[in-house]
Amino acid sequence: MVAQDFSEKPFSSLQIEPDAVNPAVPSAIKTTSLWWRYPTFSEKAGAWTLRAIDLDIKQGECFGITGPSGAGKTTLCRALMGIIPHTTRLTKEQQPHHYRGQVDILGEPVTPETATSHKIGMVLQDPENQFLRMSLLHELALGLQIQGVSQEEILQRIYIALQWVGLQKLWHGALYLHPSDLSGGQKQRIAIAAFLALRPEVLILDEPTSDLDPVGKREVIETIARLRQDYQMTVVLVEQDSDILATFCDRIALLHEGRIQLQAPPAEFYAQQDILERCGASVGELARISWLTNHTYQGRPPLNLAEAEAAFEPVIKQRQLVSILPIATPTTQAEAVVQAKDVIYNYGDGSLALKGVNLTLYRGEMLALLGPNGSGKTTLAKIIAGIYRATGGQLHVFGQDAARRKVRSRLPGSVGYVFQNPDHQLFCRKVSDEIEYGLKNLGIDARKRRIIVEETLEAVGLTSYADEDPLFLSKGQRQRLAVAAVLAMGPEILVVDEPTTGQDHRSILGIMSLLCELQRQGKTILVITHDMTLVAEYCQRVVAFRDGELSFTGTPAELFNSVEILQRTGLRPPAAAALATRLRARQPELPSLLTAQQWKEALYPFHA
Amino acid sequence: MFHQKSLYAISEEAPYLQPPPGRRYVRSFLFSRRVDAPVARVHLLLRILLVLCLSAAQLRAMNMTPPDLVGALVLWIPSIAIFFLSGMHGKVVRIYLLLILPTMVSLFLSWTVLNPIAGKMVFVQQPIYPGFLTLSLAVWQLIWLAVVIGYYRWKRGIVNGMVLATIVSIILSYLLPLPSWTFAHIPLFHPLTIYISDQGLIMAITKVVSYSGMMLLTVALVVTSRDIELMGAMRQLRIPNPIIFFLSTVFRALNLALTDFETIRQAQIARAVDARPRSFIRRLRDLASIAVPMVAMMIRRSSEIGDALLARGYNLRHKDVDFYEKSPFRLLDGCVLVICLVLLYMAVGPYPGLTALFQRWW
Repeated sequence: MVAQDFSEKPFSSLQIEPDAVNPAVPSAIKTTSLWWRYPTFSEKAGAWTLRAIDLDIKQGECFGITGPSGAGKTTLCRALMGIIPHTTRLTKEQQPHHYRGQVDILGEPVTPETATSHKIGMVLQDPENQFLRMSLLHELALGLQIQGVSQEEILQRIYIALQWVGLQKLWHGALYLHPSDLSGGQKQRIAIAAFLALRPEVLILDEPTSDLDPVGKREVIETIARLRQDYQMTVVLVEQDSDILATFCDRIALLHEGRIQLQAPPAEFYAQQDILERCGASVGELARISWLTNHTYQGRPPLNLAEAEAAFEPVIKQRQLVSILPIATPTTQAEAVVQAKDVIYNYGDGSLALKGVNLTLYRGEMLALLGPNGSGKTTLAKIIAGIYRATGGQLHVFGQDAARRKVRSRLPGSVGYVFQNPDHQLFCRKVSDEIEYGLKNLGIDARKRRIIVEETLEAVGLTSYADEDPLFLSKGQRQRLAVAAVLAMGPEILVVDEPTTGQDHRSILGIMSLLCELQRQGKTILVITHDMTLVAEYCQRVVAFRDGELSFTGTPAELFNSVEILQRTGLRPPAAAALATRLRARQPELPSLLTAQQWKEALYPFHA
Repeated sequence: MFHQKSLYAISEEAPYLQPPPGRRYVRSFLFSRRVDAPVARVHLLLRILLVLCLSAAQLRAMNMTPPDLVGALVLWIPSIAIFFLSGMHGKVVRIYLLLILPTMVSLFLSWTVLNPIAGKMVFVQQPIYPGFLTLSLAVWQLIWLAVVIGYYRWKRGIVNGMVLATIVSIILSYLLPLPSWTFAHIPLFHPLTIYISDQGLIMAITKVVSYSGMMLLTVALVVTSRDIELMGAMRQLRIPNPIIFFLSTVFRALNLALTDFETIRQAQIARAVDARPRSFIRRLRDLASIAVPMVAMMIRRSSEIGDALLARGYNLRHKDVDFYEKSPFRLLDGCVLVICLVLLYMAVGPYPGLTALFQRWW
């Protein structure tokens, strides 16, 4: 059975070797025909998570790994660390049924001691889960304490590590800094510093930026750049963000259903449109514009704005460009569903999360709430949903005063709130019970509940899972179930918190098409997001927060086309809009283009 | 241990041991405390010992016969002083005082009313329970049942029906001589009398003073302590490394669990859990349903925490070194130790109590 499994499905993977990689450079990581599948609790063996993985990562190389959710990226990282199979408690007899192949780190086979050997370090996706102590000083020192390094040397090494990640300003008072005093980006950089202090030769970064806001993302990216430039460390970077991969990696591998489908330097990697589209890999906006318009830079999609400028400048000079109609914005004639006037929210310690916010929401619009973490956007959304009570000001939802307790307690029936992590909002042991949970709370009778549950499951494609335990659904299914459970309550306003964070391209498309469908049905959608591409593509209006105040209210075009507003809000435009802005400096007649699709429509109006 | 350079002496030279500029509060087990809280300057082990000894002395004061009210009041002064010197945020102080106040009032009332103690002066003496249960059938009971059933059929409500039935039964029993038939008397417990004497009041006040002091002390201890201090104290007590490391990870996991709990509770509110008035049982079930996402989160987190531990090189056999965890003992700790010994004598030594001593002197 095992032999049969190993010989299944002949497949071909495309491997393009870069000129820069010298074969004489010794390997940092080498895997030879690596197979792995997780043990199951039933007689039937599970599917292979990793299939015939062959990698040869050279010392000093920055090697990117990308692929859709569930492709096996994190499992591959665990296998490179030796966590798989050595901590899975498989017996010698069981092991061949689950693990085959060879992994070598720095020329030596991976053993049970590799994970704890400090040759290799791994930074995980969620910065919270890897912050193991309650003070910054002890967090940085943990690995060295375990190694038995002297106090003086620990101090020296952790200070240098902090300098490497650019956080030496936190050195003063490191003993008193609690994890909750740090931002997500700082926590992730501390995690990197904690490994740097151990002086590993290989560092694996498993989606280190996916849970961070743009500020945190930028901080971590700058740190990775420094690791590359100054310390020539071997870095394995697992990432969905194609811009990061293209900027920092020497080579990128595409993992799909446990197999390496493509392995190439960034320029050649993003030229493989067929493979990338087939596997649902995330690609940057510039590559997408190139694919849609067939304009390339040196025969391949541009990887950065300078290349894109060089590729598109001659084109827009030659062509008569068609101006694009902006996305229709709701007029003030549309019914106002939420009216906030001077809304204030005070944290328990006296600090203000909202300092007098004025905002009107109109029926049927999709509105983006933008701003860095802690700027007040989530607080306002929770006040609208009745989760928090405003400390001051007035908030009317469908004409009712949300300051009244009775109104607030009934708000979930008209304002639905979908949290970022589906695992925080699934309370029942059956999928159908989960949908029914909110309906019961609203006092809907049993007969009507049954009908709504059936309809909702049908709408989100989970009917066949009605009796399953939500915990055993995939992350994408859990996310849909969380949305469905809120939708079943029939809200007229839906607040969705970070719907695309950590999701692959296909999942993002799935979620956004569901939200667009709800908007077509007349529902008002509020999206809390850091994803500017999503804002440009789907939202009619934008509200930007900064330090508890509104720094901008208007359309995405007004936001992304104005350098002054972008500076005021601290936001960055999506690549498509940034390219248009740069080119407009030379071609003032270039219309406002915010998305890849708009670029296509502007350049090829008849094809579009 | 004693010849180590003091943490406070080192901190003057080392910026990493000083509070961040402008920072007034630091996180502790619960909430936070002022960076320069006076109580936090005492070694954690001594703080624990002080709380134990002071509590033991307070227990002795209230269990003496007659109760040592003067002793309890004198011991209450350091308790309240420690509470206020713990560096707790003013808002947290108010919350705890507000929580403790009704507890103490109910303790005072229940002790005064339900514990008859003979005294020189008796203020109230009223029997309320004869010491046996009477099995009987009365017309008022039938009226009560009929009203409850009738109300349920009319309004589909139970609680309001019971209230109405009780009012109707009392009024009718008062106005009309309703018959009743007694079948048996079953002895249960002992007769209860509301009996308030001067000695009963002294006992109740002593209990309230002592218990409130003990509560404030415990809160102060928990609020001022940081996990790092506990790790260091355990190292000084030579507790095995795996236990110390396990506890340290548990504290961090609890911190994450609290954050998760907050989000999950908000997710419940977003699913209309507060939309309608709910029975107590239903509220308990709502609270229990939080366990499902909590467990799911903890399982997912524990897997990542395990990976993070392995990646840092953790294994059960490791012997790590101390790194600014152990806190050296200082002169102040020596003074606290002396106070602890005095308190220990007051708790277990041949000591008649401060009240008796005062009575002897005056």
